[in-house]
Amino acid sequence: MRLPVVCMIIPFPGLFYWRNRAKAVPLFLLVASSVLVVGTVATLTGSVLMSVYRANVKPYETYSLVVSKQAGIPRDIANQVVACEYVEQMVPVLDSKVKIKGLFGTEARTILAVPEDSADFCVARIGLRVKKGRLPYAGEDGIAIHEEIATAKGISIGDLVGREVNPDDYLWGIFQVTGILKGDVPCGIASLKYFETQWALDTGELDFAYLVFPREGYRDQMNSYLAMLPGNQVLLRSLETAERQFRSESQNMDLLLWLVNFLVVAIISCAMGLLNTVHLLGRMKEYGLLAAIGLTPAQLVRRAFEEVLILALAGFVLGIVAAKGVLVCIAEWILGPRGIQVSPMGLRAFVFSLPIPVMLSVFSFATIGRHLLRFDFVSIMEGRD
Amino acid sequence: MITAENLSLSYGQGQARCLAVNAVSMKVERGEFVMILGPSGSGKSSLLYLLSGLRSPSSGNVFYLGRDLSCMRASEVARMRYECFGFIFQQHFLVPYLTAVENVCMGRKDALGYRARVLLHQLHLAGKENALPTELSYGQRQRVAVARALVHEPQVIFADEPTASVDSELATEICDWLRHYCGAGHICIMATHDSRLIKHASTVYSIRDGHLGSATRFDDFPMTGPNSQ
Repeated sequence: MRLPVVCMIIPFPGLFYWRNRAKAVPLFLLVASSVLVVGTVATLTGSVLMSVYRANVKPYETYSLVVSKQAGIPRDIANQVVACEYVEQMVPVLDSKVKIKGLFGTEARTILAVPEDSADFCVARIGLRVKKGRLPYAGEDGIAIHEEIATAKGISIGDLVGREVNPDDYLWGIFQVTGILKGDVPCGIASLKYFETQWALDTGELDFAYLVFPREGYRDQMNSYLAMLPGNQVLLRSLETAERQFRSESQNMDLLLWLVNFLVVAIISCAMGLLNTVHLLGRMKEYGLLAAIGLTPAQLVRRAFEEVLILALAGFVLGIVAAKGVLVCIAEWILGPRGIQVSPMGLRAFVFSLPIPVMLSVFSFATIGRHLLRFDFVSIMEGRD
Repeated sequence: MITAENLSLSYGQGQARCLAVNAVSMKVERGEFVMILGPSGSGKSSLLYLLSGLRSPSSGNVFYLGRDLSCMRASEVARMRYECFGFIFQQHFLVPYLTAVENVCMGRKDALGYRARVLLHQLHLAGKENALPTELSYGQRQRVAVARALVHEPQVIFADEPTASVDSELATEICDWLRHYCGAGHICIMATHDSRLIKHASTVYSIRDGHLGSATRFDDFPMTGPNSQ
């Protein structure tokens, strides 16, 4: 079988920059460094958002929270919830927050105080497991916290946590760490009995809030049902409300990032477009010759575009690789030890920095293309340009 | 094979209008080596560019193999130049970052590389195939330019003062090469101001102020080249 012979037109795309590396390197580095900066910033901000999402939204994938707007949830409403066919279990809860150092300031992490007989169920359903130690006993001033919280706070089993230890925490009282949790949702579990002794609000026989776990596959139906509970008495925190709040809080960050990205892209595109034009003007004899030989303006534009594209893509690849390298180092040596998770291999760096080579190629294409479509190559060959 | 009918080319407008080529008619057949002889500014280069389809005439027509260039689309004319014509310019126009063999194949597919090497060898540039233009003497660069015009075996070579900046020995050699090429049934149309070179041509036209004089034909045009001996 004869293989098809692939013939390329000389000069091959990219040969100019390969043979003129002194001219190519500044352009190449310009693209690569832009991609590096944008990709790194995008990933770090993405990590912050992901961290906030995991703490504030992800838990609601497994449960909904019904909170009293008054001094406790009335019995009839509690009975109404239990009677719902989509509800697997309803667990009384009190929740609070502890503060940890995030990438850009402090972030809150939820502590759920649940009855000891429901603690194992809650931990399992939230997707956590005890990595070290144990869950707190009934009435014990203990707390099991997620490993990220422990790392961020620099505490371990036996250490103390709470408002009396750290005034920034909303966790009333003082708790001793009894266990370390592992899993997707960074939260803590405490004893409801002990929590109530620290709780200022007296709800009498009534519970203040419930974690409501749906039967598998019935989350949406359950939330629709809970949404019909009297709004003047209870507040529903579900996946939908949590996502809505997350979006409203995070959209500004993404908008800002896109704005910065746009400015970077615009500046880089202009700079590279101008540099390309300068290089092109220095190569008018070459293009003139190609046109005289018989290459059409469209072919010339395509060749010029291919060159820019190769350079932009090569710079993009280097920038992405460098960004990944930098992020791995940041994650490993700077943020990891502080309990801040960074996902260096996420797509965010790619998505946010992709407009750089794309816009750059388009801008160069527009400037060079316009030039090549209009230039009088015959005058160049006649030496009258 | 190439016919020009009442060909004119003017630059500028009104008072500044300049007639570079004035009502030129000529006919060139296969195997002819035509020289257009004239002083600087006489319109010989302009005529060459009109005949090769590089420029469009202000009036008149150019026919190649019976096809009127003015009736062809720009892309068709470009394709015709690409496939059928070869060009040698007064300046060598070698691309500085390409090697000699790459310059010969400039704008062509890399499959022509072997033929390019053979041509360079025949043009006494053996061992210089991978040299950059800066590593070649002026004469060597012009030889590369000649090879570039011949590499795809065009039907017609247009040479615009190819010997203007070279010594007489190389000028003779270039003319010999072109004469040899015409001997294989091709056409060469060369613009020159050097009357000493007309001995190489089969037909000589003189041109002055855009007017083309009558053709002088040399019946004893020898169909031999440097490598045919």
